[in-house]
Parts: sequence; structure tokens; C-alpha cells
Amino acid sequence: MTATFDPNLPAAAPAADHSHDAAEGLAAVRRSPSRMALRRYMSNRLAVAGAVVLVVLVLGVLLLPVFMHLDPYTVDPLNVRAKPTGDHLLGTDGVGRDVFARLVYGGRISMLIGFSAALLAVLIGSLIGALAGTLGGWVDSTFMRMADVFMSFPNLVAIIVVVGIFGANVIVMVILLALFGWTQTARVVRGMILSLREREYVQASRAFGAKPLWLISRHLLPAALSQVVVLMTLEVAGFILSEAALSFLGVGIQPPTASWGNMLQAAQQYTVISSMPWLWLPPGLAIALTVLAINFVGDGLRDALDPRQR
Amino acid sequence: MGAYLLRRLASTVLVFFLITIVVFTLIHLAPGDPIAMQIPPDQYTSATQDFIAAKRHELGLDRALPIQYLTWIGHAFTGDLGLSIVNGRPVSEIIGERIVPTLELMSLGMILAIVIALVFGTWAAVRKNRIVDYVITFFSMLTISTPGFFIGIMAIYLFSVKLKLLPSAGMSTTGVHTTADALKHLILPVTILGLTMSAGLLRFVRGAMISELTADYQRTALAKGLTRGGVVVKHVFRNALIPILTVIAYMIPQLLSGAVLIESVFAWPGMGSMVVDEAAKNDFPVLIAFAMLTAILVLLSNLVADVLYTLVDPRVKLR
Repeated sequence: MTATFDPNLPAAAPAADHSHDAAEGLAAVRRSPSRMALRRYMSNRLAVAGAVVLVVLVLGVLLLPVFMHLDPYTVDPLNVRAKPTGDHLLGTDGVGRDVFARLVYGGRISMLIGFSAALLAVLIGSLIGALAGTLGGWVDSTFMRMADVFMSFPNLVAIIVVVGIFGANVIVMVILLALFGWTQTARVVRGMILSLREREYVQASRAFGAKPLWLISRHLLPAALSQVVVLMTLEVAGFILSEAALSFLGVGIQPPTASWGNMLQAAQQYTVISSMPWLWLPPGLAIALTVLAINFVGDGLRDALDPRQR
Repeated sequence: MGAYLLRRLASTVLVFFLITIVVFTLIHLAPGDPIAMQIPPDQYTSATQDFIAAKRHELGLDRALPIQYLTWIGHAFTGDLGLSIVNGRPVSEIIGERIVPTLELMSLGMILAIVIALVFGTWAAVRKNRIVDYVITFFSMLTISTPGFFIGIMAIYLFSVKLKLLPSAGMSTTGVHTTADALKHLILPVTILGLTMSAGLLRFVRGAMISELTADYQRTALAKGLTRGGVVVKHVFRNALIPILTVIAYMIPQLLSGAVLIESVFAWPGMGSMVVDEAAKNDFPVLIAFAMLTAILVLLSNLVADVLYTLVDPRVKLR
């Protein structure tokens, strides 16, 4: 067969696009996996909306203090719990601090905790999962029993007890949340490894004398990466909720540092709930919006990265 | 079955002791002396030092940690959980009066969560990819993403402040002892707890139902002449119930977390609001007892989940 130019060929491909399945089949031949994943992600409207909202929120809490004067700390005893005005867009809190400024700075803290705790949890989880999966034997059973206990113990209760004793700041919170949040990643990574290590390419590598660390970093972690990314996204959402709950209970981030959770602490008083909604409505809605956006992104990523799991 | 149960029970007991050791050690490693903490700094004199030492000796806090642990666990088995450092009352008495409201809240919330999840999860599954499914899925996602205590605050604002329909705090109005009053106080906390707990379960029910709905036996049942509703009730629902049952058992510990928050929002006089107060005061004996009860609850519900799983599904092999 000679390689002649066939004018019908380019026209044939778009025609196949009418049938969704056929388009996927052709795409599998031509596009790289990451471009296919991006395509699938972009076709999920909720996931795209979630990503847009999330980017806006992150940029907002990062950049607003650069472009406008925001002061979350100055106390004004003569202007306590003031209603929203031009000066204070969302009014002032119980000691006269600007609620809008605290909302923005609180968002920085809440998101910082969510993202860094998720990163740490995934690192711990991947490490433990990889060790358990590769080494097997008593290491495996010990780690997995540990994971069972951590997974089923209500982490909120555990953290209340621990924080009640040691006190809390941002770093302690991040470490504690990660300490109680690594189990799922560990299970996924371990499961991946157990199924992957029977594959021929891994056995070939081992036959050439590859050490466990090499196998983990070269073959196993890359394969587990997409699932881990999805887990991490969903954990960011979970940790933002946990921070909010702990700080609301007064065992999380302590004022004057603002977080969305400790701003909601004001609503522990009935008079605040009944007559000052500007104190509790904005942080609550901010949490819900952020977490909802992250969850949609996470779900979208899962469907896009692993189409088998639908 | 017997051997499996025994092995499972033994490992549960082992894990329980490990948890108590960890909790006990952790709590005693804590900085800050719980007795010194109760003395205002301006009343701190040289005599106070002696008082603290005497008090520490009296409470056994000056002994080696393993000895303290063994003493404590020995007493715990006879129902003696020690005395509160803050007010000197027996811990078992404090827990005793707090545990009933919490169990009431948790059990009613759980029942409501299961009902919501089964009804709406099944409905969404049967109408998969239709408007009903989208609405239910979106609302469950919204509920998962919103802090339960914030939903509680909004509910107080709407039903207590604006509509003046329901009370916002406590288990009863002071001085009133009617069933109607007690029921009114239950509505908001139970509904919010049930709602927040239902969302995750609902998504699971939907998934389990969908995978059963697409199974081959349901086509067979339809071919035999059963109605679609009959298939769902008689076959699909019963099969989907197997994974759902175990998830429900695993959910119980998370229910406790939810109850802690709901109790704080609605000033519900249970263990949740207690532990938040005591955590602020470093009341070790109360905190340890609470952590121990939580561990028992967690381990028992895991045990029940595992056993249930093997009982309801004969295909599961025991190891």
C-alpha cells in the first residue's frame, strides 16, 4: 500500500464524532491520556463551575488585601456589632473589628489549613500505603490495623480531646488533621500496589534487581497518582469542614487570628443569631461555597481521570 | 463462625487496650498541671506549692505512668472512673447523667438519616439521570458541603427567631414537664443531625441501588412478568441492603462527631457539650472516660458491621 494523500480521511473523523462512543474510540488512538482527561473534565459542567468558583475564591482571599485596605485586627470598642455600612461592608464583630476583612483573612487561614493538611495527609498516607503494600507481612497487617482504628475513630472527638490538652495553632491543627486523615490514601495506594506488583513490567524491573524504593518511586506511585490527586481534593474539602467545626467549638484557631470557623463562634449566642446575621451568615456561606466547589472539582477529577469508576 | 467470632473479638479487645494506653499516655504528657490551673495566679504563694503536691499525691498523679494506668484500668472495670479534677464529682456520675440525652439524640438522628437516605437514594437511583436524580444528588452534595452546625444556626434563625415555631435550646422549657414540650425541643436537633448524616449515606444507597438495578437477575424478573415496582421492592432493594447495612454500622462513630456539634448549637445537655467544656479545663479523668466510651462504641460498631456482613450475605467467606 502506498502512502498517497486521501482527501476523504480528514472528513471521516468529524463524521464519526456524532456518535459519542465512536469519538471516544478514535480519541483513544490519537490523544494523550491527559488531554483526554481534560476533555472529559471540561464536558462536566458542574466540575467546570466548581473550578471557576474555587479559583475566584482563592484569588479573592489572596489578592483582595493587596488591592484594598483591609484591617482584620484593629479593635474599636465604640463601634461594636455595627450593621453593615459603607465603611464596614459586612459590619463589625463583638469587639469592633471589620467583619469583611476578617472574612478575607479568615479564608486565607481556613484554605491554608485545608490545603496543607490534605497535602500532609496524602504524603503520610502514600508513604504508609507504599510501605505496607511493598513489604507485606507483619508491617502490612500492623499498618492496616492502625488505619482501621484511625479511620473509624471519630476524628472530631479525638482532636477535641488532644487540642483540649495541647492547645491549638495553625501548625498543630494541620498536623492533627493529617494524622487522622491519612488512612484512605494509605488504603488506595496499598491496593494499587497489591494489584500492580503482579504486572509483568514490575516483575521485569524486579528481575533486573530493582530495590523496593526504586519500584515505589518509578512504577507504583505514578500509577497511583491520579487516584491520590482525587482523594487529596476531597480531603481539602473535608479538612476545611473539620477546621470550621473545631474552631466553632472553640478548640481550633484562636482569636485574634481569624478563621471561618472561629468567626462562626459568635453564633454561640442567641442574640447574635437572632439580630446580627451579618456576623455568622458570611463565614458560613463562604465555607459552604468553597467546600461545594472543591467537592465538584473532586468528583469531576475522579470521573475524568478514571473513566472506569463511573 | 464461632472461631471467626472469637478471633474477631480477641483482636477487638486488644485494639481497645491499645487505644486506652495511647489516650492515657497522651493525656498525661500534656503540658500544664490540672491542679495548678485551678488556682488564680495572684493567690499563688509558697503554701500553694505544698497544697498542689498534697493534692497530686491524693489523686495519685505523682506515681509512675504505668502504675497510674493499671490502677485506673482496674478501677474502670468496677465502674469507678475516678473523680473529676475540676469539681471532685465521680466521673461515672457525670457521664451517667449526660449519656442518655446523647444516646437519645444519636438514635433518633440515625433513624431519620436512614429513612431519608433509603427513600431519596432509591428514588434517585430509579430515576437515574432524570431531573429528580439531579435535584436529589445536588441537594445531598450541598448538605455534605455545608457544616451541620451552620445548618443548625440557620434553622434556629428561621424556625425560632423568625417563625417562632420551635425552641432553640435545651431539652425542655424550664418548669414545664409535658411530653409535647419535650418533643418540640427534639425536632430541630434531631432533624438537623439526621439531615447531615443522611447525605453521605444517600449517595451510597443511590450507588448500591444503581449497581443492583443493572444486574442481570432484574431483567429475568421483569421477563417473568413482575412489575418494575415489584422488582425494585422484592429483589433490588433486598440485595442493595447488604452493603448499605454495613455502611450504616460504620457510620455510628461519625454520628457521634455530628452529635457533639449539634449539642453545642442547641445547648443539648449531652456528652458532646460536656466534652467541649471539659477539654477547655484539662479535666483528664472526664476526657479519658469519654475517649474510652468512644473507643468502645467504635469497636463495637465495627464488630457488628463485620458480623452483619457475614450474616446477611452467605457468599462472604469467613477468614
